[in-house]
Amino acid sequence: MSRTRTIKVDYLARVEGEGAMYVRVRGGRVTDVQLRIFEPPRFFEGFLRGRRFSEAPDITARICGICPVAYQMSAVQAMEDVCAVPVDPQVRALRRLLYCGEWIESHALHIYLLHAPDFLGYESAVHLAKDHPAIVERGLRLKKAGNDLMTLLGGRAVHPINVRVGGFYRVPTRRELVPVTEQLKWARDAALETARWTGTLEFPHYEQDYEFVALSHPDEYAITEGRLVSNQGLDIAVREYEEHFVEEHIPYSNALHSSLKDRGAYLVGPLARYNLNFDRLSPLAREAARAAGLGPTCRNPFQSIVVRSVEILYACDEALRLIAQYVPPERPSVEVVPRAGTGYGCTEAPRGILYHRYTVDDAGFITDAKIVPPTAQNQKAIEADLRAFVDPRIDLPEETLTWQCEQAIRNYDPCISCATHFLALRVDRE
Amino acid sequence: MADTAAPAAVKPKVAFYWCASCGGCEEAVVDLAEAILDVVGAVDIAFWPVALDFKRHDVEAMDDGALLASFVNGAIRTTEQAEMALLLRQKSQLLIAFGACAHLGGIPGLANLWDRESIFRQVYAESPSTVNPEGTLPQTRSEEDGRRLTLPGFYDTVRSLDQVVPVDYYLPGCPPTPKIIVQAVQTLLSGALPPQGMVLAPDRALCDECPRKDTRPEKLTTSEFKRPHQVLIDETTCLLAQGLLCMGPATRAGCEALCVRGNMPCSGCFGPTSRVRDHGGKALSAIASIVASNDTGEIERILAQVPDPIGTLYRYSLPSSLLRRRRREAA
Repeated sequence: MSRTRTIKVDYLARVEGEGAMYVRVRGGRVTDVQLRIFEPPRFFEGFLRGRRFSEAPDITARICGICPVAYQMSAVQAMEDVCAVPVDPQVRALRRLLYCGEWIESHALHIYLLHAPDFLGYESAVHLAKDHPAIVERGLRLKKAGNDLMTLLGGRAVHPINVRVGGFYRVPTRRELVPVTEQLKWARDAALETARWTGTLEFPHYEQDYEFVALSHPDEYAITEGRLVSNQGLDIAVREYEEHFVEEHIPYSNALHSSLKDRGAYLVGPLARYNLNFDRLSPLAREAARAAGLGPTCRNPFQSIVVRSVEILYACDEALRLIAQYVPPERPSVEVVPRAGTGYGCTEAPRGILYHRYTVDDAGFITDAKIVPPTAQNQKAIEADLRAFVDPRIDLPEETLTWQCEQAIRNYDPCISCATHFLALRVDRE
Repeated sequence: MADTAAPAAVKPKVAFYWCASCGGCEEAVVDLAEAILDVVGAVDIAFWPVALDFKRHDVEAMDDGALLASFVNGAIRTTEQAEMALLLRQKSQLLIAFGACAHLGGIPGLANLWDRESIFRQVYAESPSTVNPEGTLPQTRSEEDGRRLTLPGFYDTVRSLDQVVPVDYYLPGCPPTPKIIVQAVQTLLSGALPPQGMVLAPDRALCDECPRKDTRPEKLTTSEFKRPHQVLIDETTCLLAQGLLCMGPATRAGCEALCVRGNMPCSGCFGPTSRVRDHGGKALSAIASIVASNDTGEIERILAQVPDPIGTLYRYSLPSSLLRRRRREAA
């Protein structure tokens, strides 16, 4: 006897964007999983051609309103690479500080407003807030601490306006950083509490042997720069990216799928960073991770919610350290003279590595652009996860299975506005 | 504080939706922070895919006009977005274009400098590190083992929301600022509706609320346009007076000169005032009027210093401009 049942959910809600997931079950086994992505990155690569090199940070920020700093940072890095501009160490520190703000706000958004409702059995943060207003308020306040840091350095939290090739438009005085210090101390405590709280959530028993890929830096938990490394031997400079990674286009999706040449799927994001760079977290962050029940490695993607909490804690700690050591640079930026060439940039967006490459002509106009956002890189891993996750759970009632599949996708905090839009989950059983 | 004796008033239903956008407008709503919980308390959010598990069929099941207001951000680039815009228009008493992309086409609208086919080729096939030997492009229909998969189709031209459905109000900005969002929500909930078609922000030029207004010379002239990355920008003087291209004179106020306060020239995300039909055209005329020369050759030399005029003057407004897009070459 064969039977076909179809579960269709027309949008996968609570991801930053939308797409569709199709799971095919035959003879009690998952035979096919496809992540379909409807809205591509709005073709930024297409229309960046002809724009000035100096406009790339501001234009590409509009790919993602949740992680605009990541786009600005990868873009300025690539353009400074083209133009061989040396970046002042204090400018570098300020950029790292701005990035900490984005990690705090983006992770707080995902933990509290998008992911936690899954674990606590609520449809959304709005429903969660009815029963547990204190939890949601803590999340919003934590997010605000990140936003306020971004606003202080970047003029506003969504699409900050201060970053430019060569430095900043203006830099803060030491005194201007004082008010945010108190708020960050509160946020550090709230992050500690967040790590403790997320550690008490119930996680499905599910582990995978991923190839983790992240930036790694000898002296710090990599955010703005480093070498690209993996737990399976990858160790390359950013400019070698295209020798090792490829993007394929698949007719059922509008987003390109990334893979490692000859190796296939890999995973980027908090889990990858944590596993590759655990020893470079601050002592407080490492301690909080242990207290929340994590070892130095974590292969359960559902526990990424704990890892995000640990990263918020680290970002607060690191921001406070950067502020304490801050000395304003002599000038906010250095002069940049465009020249023909190709430049590479890669930084750790909240969701994982974000790679930019630009070719610029001698008048400073962009002739070619390549942008690989983290969600495009995780697509294959998400598909593999769904396959492995659904198999032993195939007999669950469809509503439960659908819910758990959506949750498994949300583990990746998929910013489908970066890679896409629109998700329908369809489980087709026969 | 709720009056428990009175029958619970039915809260107005609202929807938030996004089309071709970046999520920044959604983020701007969430960033009302404490205020968002008040808004959530005052209305019934009936549809908001980024945050709530309601689906399209929930909207389809509603009576026409069941929603007091739908806030739609993003430009219209796919068939699916156009369908959603029509659906929400039908179900809503008020449709609000939220943010620069819905209002004017926004940065995704710069794709109108190209056509769909050349962008497809560039993005999916020709860019380095993309492996696509068979030249596979996105298909609105594809067959996988006898099963038909569908994707929305792409239009050749990116459009603003009001080029697809009638729009009642506009909230400008990339993204709109918390202040104008809160003011707009309060206005709409008050029932005292402003004239239809209004942009819900002050109808005057940004220079009016610029903190550097007093440093702007009475007769502003420049013999050179400088590029921001080549100069150290003074933090107190009018940017145009420093020879930097600032969109302030041609752009609507309401953001409180956020970018200028950050020492960056205005790039025009609030769009033009109500008296201006074409934002970039107005900006060009404002710039031309300050060029300090009567000599044609000299004027050309000065204006040539404005690099990428379309990407600069029409950064957020190409789809809503008079031309809408670059003319297609005759085949």
